[in-house]
Amino acid sequence: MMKRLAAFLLMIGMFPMSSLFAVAAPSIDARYIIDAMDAAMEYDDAAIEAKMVNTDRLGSTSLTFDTFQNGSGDTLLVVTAGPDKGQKILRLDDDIYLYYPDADEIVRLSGSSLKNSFLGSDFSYEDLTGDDDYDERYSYTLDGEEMLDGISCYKMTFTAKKLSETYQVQEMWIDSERFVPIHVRLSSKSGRSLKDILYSDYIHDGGIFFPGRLEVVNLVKKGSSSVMTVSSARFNVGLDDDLFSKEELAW
Amino acid sequence: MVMFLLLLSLLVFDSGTVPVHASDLSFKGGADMVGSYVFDDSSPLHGAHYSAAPYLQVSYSSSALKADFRGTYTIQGVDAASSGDPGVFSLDKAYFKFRFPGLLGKRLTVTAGLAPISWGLGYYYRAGDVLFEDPITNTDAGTYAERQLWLVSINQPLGAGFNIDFAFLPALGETTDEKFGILLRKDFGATTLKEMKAAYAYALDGTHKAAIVADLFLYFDITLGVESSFSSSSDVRIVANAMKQFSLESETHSCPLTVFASSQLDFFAACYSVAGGVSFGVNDRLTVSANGLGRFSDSSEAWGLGVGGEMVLVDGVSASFAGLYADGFPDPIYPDGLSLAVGLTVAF
Repeated sequence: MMKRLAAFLLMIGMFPMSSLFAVAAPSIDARYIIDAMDAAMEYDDAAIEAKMVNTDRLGSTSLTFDTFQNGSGDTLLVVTAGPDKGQKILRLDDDIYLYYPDADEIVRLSGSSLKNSFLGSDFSYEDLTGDDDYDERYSYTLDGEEMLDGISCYKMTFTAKKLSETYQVQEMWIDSERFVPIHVRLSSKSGRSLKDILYSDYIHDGGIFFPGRLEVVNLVKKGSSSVMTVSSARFNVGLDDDLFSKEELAW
Repeated sequence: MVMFLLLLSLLVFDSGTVPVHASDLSFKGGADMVGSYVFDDSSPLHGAHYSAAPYLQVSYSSSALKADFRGTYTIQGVDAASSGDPGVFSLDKAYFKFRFPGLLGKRLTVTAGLAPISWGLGYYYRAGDVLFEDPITNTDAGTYAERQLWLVSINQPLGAGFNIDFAFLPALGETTDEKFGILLRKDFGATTLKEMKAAYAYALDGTHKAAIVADLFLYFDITLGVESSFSSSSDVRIVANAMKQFSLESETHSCPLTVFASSQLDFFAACYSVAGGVSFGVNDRLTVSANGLGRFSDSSEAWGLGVGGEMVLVDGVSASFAGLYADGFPDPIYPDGLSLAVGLTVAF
């Protein structure tokens, strides 16, 4: 159903808006690239409408959803079409609140339950609530430059600082001109590849880059993938803080 | 009054003050089909049972107005060979919610109709549902306790994490006497103390009921509640719930494992109840579970053990099975001995 919806949010969580751009780095190094990537995707708040198509051995399902995020990283996701229509998910700090429209009731998830699969997807709730400070979670190195689908990229490797991280190793190919991710490969501790995330069709609005298409390919489950297509993206729209409340969640 | 609130809310919000909600009218339908067999030949429930319950739900929402109507037509019978009882229509939901500019720049929400309501917390035994006639237990532990009352309620956020609710319940449905309720909530948002609630309800027959509930996170998600109906000095009920969701990680998969334990100490009824269970997501489609419950007093004891499972066959269609062995519960809650059930749920 809402399979791998988290991929989209994971990406948002990975590149928080609070990062400060390191001005005038003397040379291209890993630190410079991360800061430049943060800056390229930085916004005060965002309202996104998107469609997700999930495919596995049994066929395809689709859903649409709206996502709102404020400057603190609080996120509200509303499923607007599909089998889970009406379901809402609110992220506030380290807590996830799920709203079930049929029961008109809110359920809280916290602590280690955040490691569980996010609505049956391959991503965990922790992916959404992970520490916004990427530097705290991973150490990273610049491996060099590579061409990927005709795009010149910096290739970086991220290694988890804690065993509790879901993805112990991440390889990321970052567009060397726009400083946006093009491809991320997520791997287990032993180095087994788990998922590929492919970013494309970037929207460029007011100096902000945002992927218009996001494809997640499950490398463990054969034939399983998800494609998210952004139909509308608005940035710095001045979202009301009350939007990110349990009262709004239950509306 | 509903029409007045409807017009008022539309006037207030029609200018698009809150731009994030588009108007939406949706229809949802489905059916639950269950077949079961009770082996206890001394029970009035002995034998085969079947039921089919198609339902239809119509929902509307906008920034100012939300409405939900759901009706179910249930056909059930005993013994597959006999003809089923005439069908029964039940109204599950019929409510409007209106939103207005409220105090302190916050939105005030008014709900009127037959609406799901929960002032309680807890995974199995819920503390704080003082609006209900009897203590509520969530027999679908792990999901939610769905229960509806006829009511008019008002919710007003007060800022700084405070919220206040007022409710009036007319003598309709399961409410036998008009009742008034008030609920004060404080959302702490802290690592350990998540929320505290204080609830009070007064019925026109002179009875009243109060509860204080704390929602904590201490490795487990914990709910602690104290309730009283003030009928005597021993009229105190203490509820404690603990729930934890684990994730069993393999190299390539993570499987959710949920464990819960709940207990209820009722000093007035001199009774102690306990429930516990575990559910395990084998994969994306199959979840299996096992549960146990017991109820003990000086004069009696009852216990039950159950297993169950649910499998999503395709999106919108799931099959389930359940088995229960119970002893000592009064009919028709849980018949003595073995009971089995299979079900099919379709949603569209």
